[in-house]
Amino acid sequence: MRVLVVEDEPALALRLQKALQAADFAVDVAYDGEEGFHLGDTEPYDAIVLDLGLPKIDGITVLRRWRQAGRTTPVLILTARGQWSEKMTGFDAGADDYVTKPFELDEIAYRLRALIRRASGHVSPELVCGRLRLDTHSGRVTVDGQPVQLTAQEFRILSYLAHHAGRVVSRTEMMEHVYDRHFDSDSNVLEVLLGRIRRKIGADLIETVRGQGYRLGAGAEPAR
Amino acid sequence: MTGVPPRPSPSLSIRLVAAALVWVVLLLAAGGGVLAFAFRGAVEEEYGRRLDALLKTVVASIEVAPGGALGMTRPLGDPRFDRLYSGWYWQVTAPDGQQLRSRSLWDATLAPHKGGPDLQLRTMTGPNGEPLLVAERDVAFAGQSAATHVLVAGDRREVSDGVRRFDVLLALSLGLLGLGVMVAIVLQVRFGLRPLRALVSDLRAVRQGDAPRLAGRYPVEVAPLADGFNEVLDRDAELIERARTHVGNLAHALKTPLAVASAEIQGERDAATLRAQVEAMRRIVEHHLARARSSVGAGRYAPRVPVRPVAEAAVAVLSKVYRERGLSIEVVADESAAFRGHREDLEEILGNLLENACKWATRRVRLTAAAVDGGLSLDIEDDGPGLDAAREAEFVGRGKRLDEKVPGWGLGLSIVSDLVDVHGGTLRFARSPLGGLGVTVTLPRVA
Repeated sequence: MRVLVVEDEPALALRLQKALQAADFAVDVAYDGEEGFHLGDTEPYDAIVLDLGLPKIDGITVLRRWRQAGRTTPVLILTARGQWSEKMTGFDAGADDYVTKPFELDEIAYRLRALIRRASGHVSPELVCGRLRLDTHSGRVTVDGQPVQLTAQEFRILSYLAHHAGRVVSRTEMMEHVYDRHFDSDSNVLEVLLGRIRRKIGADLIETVRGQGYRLGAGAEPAR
Repeated sequence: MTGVPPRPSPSLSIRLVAAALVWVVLLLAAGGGVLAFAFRGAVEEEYGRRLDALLKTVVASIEVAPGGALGMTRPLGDPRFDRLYSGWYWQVTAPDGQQLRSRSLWDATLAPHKGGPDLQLRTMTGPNGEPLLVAERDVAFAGQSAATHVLVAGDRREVSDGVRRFDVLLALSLGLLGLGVMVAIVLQVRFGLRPLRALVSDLRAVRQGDAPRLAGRYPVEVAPLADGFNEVLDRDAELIERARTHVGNLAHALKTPLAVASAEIQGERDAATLRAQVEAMRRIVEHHLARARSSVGAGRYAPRVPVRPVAEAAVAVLSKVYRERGLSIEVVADESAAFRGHREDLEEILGNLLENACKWATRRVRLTAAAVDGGLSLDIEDDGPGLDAAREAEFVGRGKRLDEKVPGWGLGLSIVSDLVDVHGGTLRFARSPLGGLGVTVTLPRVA
């Protein structure tokens, strides 16, 4: 899953980036409202962490512009304590969740996962697709109840497919959502990783649709 | 605070005096006009009567000779009728054209006017160009076939000279009267507005710090202004005092953790202790910041904020955040339920209490807002686990900081507690009929 962090305080931005990367997110960072708006408007993020006090364009305005431009990406706003006004304005502008500063970094990752799941129509933190079960919070993956050990990159790919189970996901889409914007998308790393995942969970679960992309759990009902 | 003051409107004294001036001039001019007109009428009427009397004398002196010829039995006796072109003339015209004239007319003739047996008055120009008032009538003498026209003329300048003298005198006296009245009005305005000037000088004394408040006695029209201003002054003083207390509290409260922290830094480094002290300082700062922010809005000059829209905004946030839990958040708010103070304070109180209720609720959260005795009562209930007896006692105990380690009972609630305190209200915890915790906020009436 790929997320955007818009935060002007460099130390906090760095901590957020590291923590989210450790939680298996691909992370882009913008340090002001202008850059933040531009990235959020052009790149296909799965979720956005938005600080409200930003230089150049303030967070509320950035959020409003995204929504006006038709971007439905879930947005988590960072607000100060004792600032319920800010929360109300933020939600009015289209925010989906808030976290109050100072916060635990784990909490941000937790909230982001929940937001992403909700956005793709899942309620339970555990995604079930036929024989495959994937717990978005703990990162546990089982096939027929047997635990499967995946690397961070493998987990990201499988998790994206599981969020969009039953739908064909193109290679470009996958690259955009699994890696940050500095990643060289011409390499064949995706194919290599998919091959490894197939060996671990069974080749039949991920179907290759020629010329279009990949699909998880063809025929099986996506879990609700 | 100091903007450019708006240009003052024209002074009260100028308004009052100008209005009086216009009125006095109009009234005196109208009165003078009426007086002059009436005087001139009376004088002219009197003059006409005199001419009539003369005319009657002339008629009485006329004698008709047996041949029908007219003659004067005796002279009129008034020398003005004998002096050439004196402005005083008489003239008798018989039906056959024979004329008798005063010596003053010499050989001039005054054009007779076709009249009747009744006296008629008219003006005309005399032989010497003098303005004349003419009285004339037709008189029938015995032994004459038709009426004889008799005319007496007097110099009109005698009338107009008198009238002019009167007009000048009238204008002078009325002008003097007007001047006197205006002086009286100016004096009256100055006297009447003296309390205002006193108020201004008292205000100046307050501004320069010579007096704490407006102490003078003012007339009933000005007293409310002075009282209102005194209230503002008192409130300012109170706010400043409160701010001082807050700063003092903050400084005092920060001393201890700072002392501990600096001791730690000098000595052995103990990260846990340091972190705890820093955390303590953060909480103190936030506590005082919240108080400082809200104390400004507390009190009688605070705006009225209806509860319902604020509650609905908070519910909009929370129902989105807790969407997955399928909570039903109910708002029961009277239209009359309103908060007196900053909107942000109400947002903070409702936001934190509802957030807390949502965290603990199983399915239901209910907010009831009602106007009670002119104040406001807010009930926030949930159907969660509620409080056990021990923790309940802890909560109700006043002055105790709420434990931040209990999840959900964080700084949010201590901010609420501060805010309610600042607004002179109370915060109570009880078991809710819904099964969980019920928090009741009671805010008093604001005068």
